[in-house]
Amino acid sequence: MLRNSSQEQDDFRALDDAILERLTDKEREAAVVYLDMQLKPPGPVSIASIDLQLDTPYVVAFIDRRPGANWMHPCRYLFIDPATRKITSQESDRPPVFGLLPPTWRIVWRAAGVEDWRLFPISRSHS
Amino acid sequence: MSTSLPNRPRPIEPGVAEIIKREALASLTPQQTASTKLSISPQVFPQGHTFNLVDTKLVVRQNAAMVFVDHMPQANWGHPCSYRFYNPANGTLLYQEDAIFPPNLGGETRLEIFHQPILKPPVLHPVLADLVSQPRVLPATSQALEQRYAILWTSQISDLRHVEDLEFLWRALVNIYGFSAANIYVLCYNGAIGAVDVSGSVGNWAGNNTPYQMKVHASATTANLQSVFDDLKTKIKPKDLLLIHTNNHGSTTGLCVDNSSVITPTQFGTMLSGLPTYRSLVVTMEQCFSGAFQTPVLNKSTAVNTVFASAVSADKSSDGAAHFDPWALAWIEAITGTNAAGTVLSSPPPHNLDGLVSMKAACDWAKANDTGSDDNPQYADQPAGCGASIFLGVEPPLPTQVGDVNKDGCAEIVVTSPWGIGVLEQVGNTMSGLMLAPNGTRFGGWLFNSADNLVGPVADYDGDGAAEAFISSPWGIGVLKFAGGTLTCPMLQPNGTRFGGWLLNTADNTFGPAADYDGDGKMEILVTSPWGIGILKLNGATMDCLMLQPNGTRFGGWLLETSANVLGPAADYNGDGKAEILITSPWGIGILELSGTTMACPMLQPNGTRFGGWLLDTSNNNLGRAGDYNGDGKAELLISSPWGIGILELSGSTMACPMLQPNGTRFGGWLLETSQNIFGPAADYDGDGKVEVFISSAWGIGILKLAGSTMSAPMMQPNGTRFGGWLLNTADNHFLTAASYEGGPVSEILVSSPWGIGILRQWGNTMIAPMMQPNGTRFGGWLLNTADNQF
Repeated sequence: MLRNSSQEQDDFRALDDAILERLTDKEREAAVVYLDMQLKPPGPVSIASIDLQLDTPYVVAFIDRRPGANWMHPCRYLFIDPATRKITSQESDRPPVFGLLPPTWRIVWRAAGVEDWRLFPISRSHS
Repeated sequence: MSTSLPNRPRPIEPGVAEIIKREALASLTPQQTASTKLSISPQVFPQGHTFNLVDTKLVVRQNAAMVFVDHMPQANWGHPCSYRFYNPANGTLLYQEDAIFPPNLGGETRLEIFHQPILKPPVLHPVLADLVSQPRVLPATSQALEQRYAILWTSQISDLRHVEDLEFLWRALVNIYGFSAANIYVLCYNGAIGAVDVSGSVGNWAGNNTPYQMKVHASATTANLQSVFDDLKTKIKPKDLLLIHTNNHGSTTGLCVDNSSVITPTQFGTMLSGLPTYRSLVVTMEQCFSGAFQTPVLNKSTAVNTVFASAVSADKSSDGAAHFDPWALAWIEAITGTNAAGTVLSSPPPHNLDGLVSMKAACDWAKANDTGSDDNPQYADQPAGCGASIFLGVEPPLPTQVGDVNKDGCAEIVVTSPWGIGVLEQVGNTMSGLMLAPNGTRFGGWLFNSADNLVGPVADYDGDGAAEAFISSPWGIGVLKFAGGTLTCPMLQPNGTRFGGWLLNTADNTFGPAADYDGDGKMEILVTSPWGIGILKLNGATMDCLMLQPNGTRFGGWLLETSANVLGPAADYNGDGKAEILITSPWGIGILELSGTTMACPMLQPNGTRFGGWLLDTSNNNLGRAGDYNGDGKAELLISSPWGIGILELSGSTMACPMLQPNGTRFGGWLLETSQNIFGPAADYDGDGKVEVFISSAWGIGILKLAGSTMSAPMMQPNGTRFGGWLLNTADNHFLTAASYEGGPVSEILVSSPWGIGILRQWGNTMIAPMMQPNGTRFGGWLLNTADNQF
């Protein structure tokens, strides 16, 4: 697992810029972006309402465009190849999970004015 | 609003940022600390950077870090604020500029809040703070004759805020509207009170920090919802009401059940279509895309009247909040009159004369007060306009159980309880029990059972000067007469009996009001059904039917449709010695009078008509409290609206309005505000041959008397006043039937409270209590308990 390695944490933080560059103006103004700090192996991907095939290892970012609104509402996912920074974007209308995000997730962008309650709670336990 | 940075933004060093924050905080006075919000930009702004502040520009004079000071953080922009610029190397203050707009109006400048004022807790109304948390069932609701059901739904992927809404609604239904908890099917999460964004216990309810009260029926699954509908199929009857409220997530395909399945609008419509016919269906939905359910609900409902309301249309997501979803919260606030903490709403929705808020009024209020900026609340009803006549309280109101049953010139009370029935008469400062009998007693052929018998109206049906009690049950109807220390039953007939052409079926017949429609000195009773209308008259051991006509009949110009018409009150509006009856609909109003074997309609007018200065609009006008306010021998009607009140009198083929006054008017000392005032019975409280109307509010009570073109208030007293020994508290006093309990021309009013009952009589500018007794008192053998006695 990557989360116990500070070097690997830095590797993930290096993806922040790539993610932020892909945000639209509206997303910068209103969205909250979460990154799952886990490197997933290539293969079939199934998350939220998305099913696709990726041929390289990838990391998932989740862009909540209307934080705090009831689901379902517009959001999208970025599948990032950390080696090449190639990003595959997929539209969706639902979160990775309903409820607490696992502790491997962190916030990489929070638009100005987004109150705390609008954020997905992130679990602190690694159950 | 501001120009983009020419180069990649340079972040402030963390140590410097801390120095800047401390300096900015230190610059505030203690008073400012409690009211000012401070934010810091995480980046250094280069010299020349320009903030475009709507109609002005603010140019950064030198490279600087910036703290934004919002002096009025709860006000809309623009309002006073300041920009404090700091040396990015050492955190010292460079200069400050004042402005009225922030740098991030369009979200282009990132700010991190590091200080904000603590919001003051709401100020609670001292009396009503626990309104929704303590049982305080509205007057005239019956515990024994429950006819109202509810389904409250959150999904298995609901957040806590959705559960909070359900708890608020559950408390409103049980504690205020008197729903039986057993009739509320809560389908919540996994079968317990829980939510996906909570690990472990949900703790206390966010409304007033008390433990959850609602009882969960089952987990929120499609099968369980279908099971509830299957259960209701066997229970729901033609006179019943069903409320369905959903509060969770939704997708374009339907109402979320879990993270992989939904209930589609078509499925939901199919569930509704499986129910038998009943009176009213109210569906309120908070979830995203909930408007998609509107058409199937209206099309598939088997209810005579259906209301649908949702937070959003079929193509929109609904807003959430830290606690409670905003549209659902507003709707529940509308029906309770308070917010979740118990604070009384400053501008509540209009209610009818009994203090009940219609579904139309509640939805209108919720739409106007929904704080979810992206919500677009939807509303529809079928037949059109019916939502203005649907209430969560018992509808129609329970009939009067008061009348002079022993011909002594004084009114007695026919009291019922889960134990049985009795007749109470005032004797001095207490009551005596003229008769009492437990459930299971046979009165002649009538087997009494208060669990399913509906007693009243009490009126003189045989013209002997003594009043009898009309009684109905799932078996049939009867008339109970007090004689020889017990009740006899001179008339009883089972369902299926033909009274003339009227086919008796108590499952869908509604009885009342009772009045002397033919002017012979005996009372008849109006009966309506999904088929039409009739007037029944006691004739020995059975009933005659003076008149019956099906829906679709024209009474003069009035088109009868009992599903959309509201009948009553009945009174002698034209002074001919016979009673007429008011009829209202979403179209307008009319007055019907018996004419041979049909009805005539001497007056009918559509909405939009001006009666003198009063503009008729039955969508928010409430008519009732008929009586002879001006002593001319004809009855007038009280009318109220969100605008104010008036008195209408029949004048040829229309109505005149001798009195109308807007809210804000002082009637003597009484400040009229129809959203806060509840109108009690109209009766002759001072014995001058004219009726006055009883009025109450959170402040106290009064009696309003017609005085020319306005009203006076010969009596008004605030809560806390002692009427003899009775301590006035309108928060828990229920003002019931007015009648002459002591005999003579003066009427008194019966009052009940959690303490006991009393009879109040006007005495100058105050009231006295000639009778008052606490719960636990024995009236003869009758054990007083206002918690379950129905008067």
